[in-house]
Formats: sequence, structure tokens, C-alpha cells
Amino acid sequence: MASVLKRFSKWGDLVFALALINIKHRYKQGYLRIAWAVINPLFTMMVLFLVFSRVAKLPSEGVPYPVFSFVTLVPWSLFAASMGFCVYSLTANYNLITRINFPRATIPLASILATFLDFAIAFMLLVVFLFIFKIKVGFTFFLVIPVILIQLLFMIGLGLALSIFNVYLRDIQSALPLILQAWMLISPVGYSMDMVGDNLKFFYLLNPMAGLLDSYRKILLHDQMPDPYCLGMSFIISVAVFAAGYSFFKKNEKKLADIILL
Amino acid sequence: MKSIDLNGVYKKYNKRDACLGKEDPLWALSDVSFSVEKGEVLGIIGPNGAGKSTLMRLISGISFPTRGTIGVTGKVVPLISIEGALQYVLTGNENIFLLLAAFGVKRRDRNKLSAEIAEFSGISDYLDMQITKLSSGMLSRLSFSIAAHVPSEILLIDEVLSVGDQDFQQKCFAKISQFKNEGKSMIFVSHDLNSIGDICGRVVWLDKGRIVMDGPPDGVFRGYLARYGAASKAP
Repeated sequence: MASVLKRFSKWGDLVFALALINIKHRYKQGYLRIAWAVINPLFTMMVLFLVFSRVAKLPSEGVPYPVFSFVTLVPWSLFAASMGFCVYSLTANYNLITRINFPRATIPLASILATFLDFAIAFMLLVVFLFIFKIKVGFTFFLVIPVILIQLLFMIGLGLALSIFNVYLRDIQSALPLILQAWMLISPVGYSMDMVGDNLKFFYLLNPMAGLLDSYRKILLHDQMPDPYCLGMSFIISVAVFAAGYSFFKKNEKKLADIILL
Repeated sequence: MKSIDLNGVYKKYNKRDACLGKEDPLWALSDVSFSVEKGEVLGIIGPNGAGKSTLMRLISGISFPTRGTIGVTGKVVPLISIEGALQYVLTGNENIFLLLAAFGVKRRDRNKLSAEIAEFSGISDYLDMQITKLSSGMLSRLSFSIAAHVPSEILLIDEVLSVGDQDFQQKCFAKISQFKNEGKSMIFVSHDLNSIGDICGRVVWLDKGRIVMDGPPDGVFRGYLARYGAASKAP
């Protein structure tokens, strides 16, 4: 543990510097710049509102649909965007990887860190929404922190693995947007998890994002504790994904510089 | 004390045939063994494709041998090749910060070093601009200055003559002799026998991944020139 902290204090700055590049790349020549951090989830919210609420008339746990979906869209965007950056993070930074010897994991970690800027901005808008729609927010609010941390663990594990997959097979970066689209539909982003039948629940929760998204709703919309079964499943799977992703990354780290140029 | 110790190092690259899926191995290095004492300055010569760059990459720990072992004692810094690592969306100062962080320089040393780098580069007025606006000579100055200020014990120097204008080249050579006096171990890679002969006490001649000769410059140069003749400049 002490060695992990020591490594972090040595290489943490590098993660920050790399995250800065990611942010500069994205926003430097745009006109709306960082406003995209909120335009993205807002736009998706409108689409979901029209389709799921207006056309399909799905129930939304007794909460106005816009805030009902925004509360899950913000963490979902964090997940989807950071995976989108992770997948080509190593291949895009080959010029650093083939010239300087440093811990390679800093690169995908920086991609994840960079999306937290967008997340922080969107989350502030979410808080504004909670006020506008007069949602009662209590001390349970702070429970979002452990939920975010579990999500972070899952994102690191998956992000490390994706970044390596893409070094071997560039098809991954083309396939990922499609996978994320389908993934969003099998996650309770635009609809309530109450709609999932009990007989399917176990399989549904094998997707750790499901339990996490439901926990965000419980905490932020209903002032309740997260469901221990849902969040517990998410936690266990996230830890497993983290461990697998990390060891997979470690195993392949040394071969990176040779393979990336093939 | 040995700074670098290579023992029977082999490096294979698999050039995968995209159509047939057959593996076509290419041995970039075969049975390379030599060592560099602390404070020694070693030159490496050889034609294009001899394996010089592969060797540098193995010593700096970016890539790893297929067979054999490499022992390195101390921090290795490549002095020239990092120009390609500069990030074009960043300013000069941000690049200094990034590359120092990538070399693992501690936060408390970074501010002091950044000031020294800005001073040494001679382009401190341009360092708050995005580096796409800098000339290629300025970029060479910047990258050399960064690498030269990273605390290190071993320096890898690839084609040193290509850096900047005459003024800056002299500065570079002064810096390199300073490193020599400080007792840093160095490996020079070049096609130019003149610059190697000036500074190296020993030369390794590499060809097709194998060591052809290893010894004092004069002897190795004689053998090298006998093979390649007028193609190389005589010392």
C-alpha cells in the first residue's frame, strides 16, 4: 500500500499533465468548448424524453421525467465518454510510449481523469435541476461519493483492458460506439429498473452499470439508501473487472512499444 | 562498476504478413554482449538497419529483449529522440512540464529545472506559445534542453550533430563534455566517425544485428572504412 502511494505521488502529476492534453485536444478549436459537457447529456435527455416519456409513456418513479433521466445520464456520460477516450488512448500516444519509459497505465488513467471535468460540470447542472424540480435532498446526498468510487473502479478496470485490446486490434475503437449504444439500452438510463422482472434481475445486474445507475436514483431522487443487493452486485463485479483489467494491462505493458508500431 | 551490462541479447520483431497470417521473424539483434563502465563513453557505429535504434530502445527500457539480459544501473535518458515526444497542442512550457513528469522528475525539482531549461534553450520568449508556431530548430533546442536537464546517470545520444544552429551545437557539446566530467556514462550513436572519434574511448561496430568489432576507435574505424570505404567520412 505504501509503495502504491509512493508511486502515485511520483506519477500522479503525469496523469494530470496527460489529462490536460486530452482536454486541450477536445476543446481547443471548438466554439462552444466546455459547454459540450452539458449539451451532450441535455440533448440525449431530450431524445429520451420524447421517445420514452411522450411516445412510449413509460413511468418514471413518480419524478418528472427530465430530472429522472438526467440523474442517470450524467454518470452514464462519464462512463461512455471515458471508455471512448480510453480505447484509443495508448494508440494515440505512441509518440510518448516509443520514446520515454514511464508507467503506461498513466495514459488511460488520464483519459478517465479528463472526463471527470465534464462530469463535474454536468453534475452541477444536475444539482440545479434537483432544485428546479423541488426534489428533496438530504444527507444521503453524500452517499453518491462511494457510488462514484465504485463506478471509477469499474471504469479503470475496463478502460485499462480496452486500451490494450485496441493496440492489438484497431477494430475495437470502431466497434465500441455501437457496443455503448446497446449497453445504454440494457442499462436503466432512460427507464426505471422497477420495470425489470424479478426473474431477470440477477442477469440484469451482471451489468455493473445497472446497479450503479439505480443507486444514483435512489440517493438523489428518493432520498433513500441504495439497494444493498443491487449495489453489492455492482461492487463485486467492479472489483473483479478492476483486478482482471489491471493484471491484463500489467501482462501486456512491456510489449506495448513493439506492438504499437506494427 | 558497470552501468550497462548486456548478455547475449536477441531481439526479434514479428512482421506479420497481413494476407497469409504467417509470421516472418526479423532478428534486429543477435547475440549482442557488451558492458559500459560507469563514466565510460561508448560509441556505436553501423549502417542503417544495423540495430542501433533497437539497442537504444532496449537500454532505455522502452522495449524488452526476446532473449538474453540487460542490466542497467541508474536512470537512463535519451538525449535526442524525445523531440518526437513533444505534444503539438501544448505550449513550450506545458511540454517541459509534461516531459519532466514523464521522466519521473519530482514535483519539487520541477520548477527549478523548468527555469534552467528555459534559460538553456535560449528561446524562453517563445515558450508560452503553442509549439506548432515554433520553427523546427527551436523544437530541437527545446527537446534537447529538456532531456539534458533531467537528472540521469546514463545518457543515450543519437546523431547529436543534427541539433539546432552552430551556436546551439556548441552549447550542446559543452553540455556533453560537462556530463563526461561529471562521470556520467554515455552511449553515442552516429554515422559520423569524426564526432564519435572525438569523444568516445571505445567503439562498437554493429551490422545486421551482430557485433562486428568492439575496441578502441582507431582499430574499429579502420575495419569499418575497409568495409564501407568512401561511403563514410574518414576521421
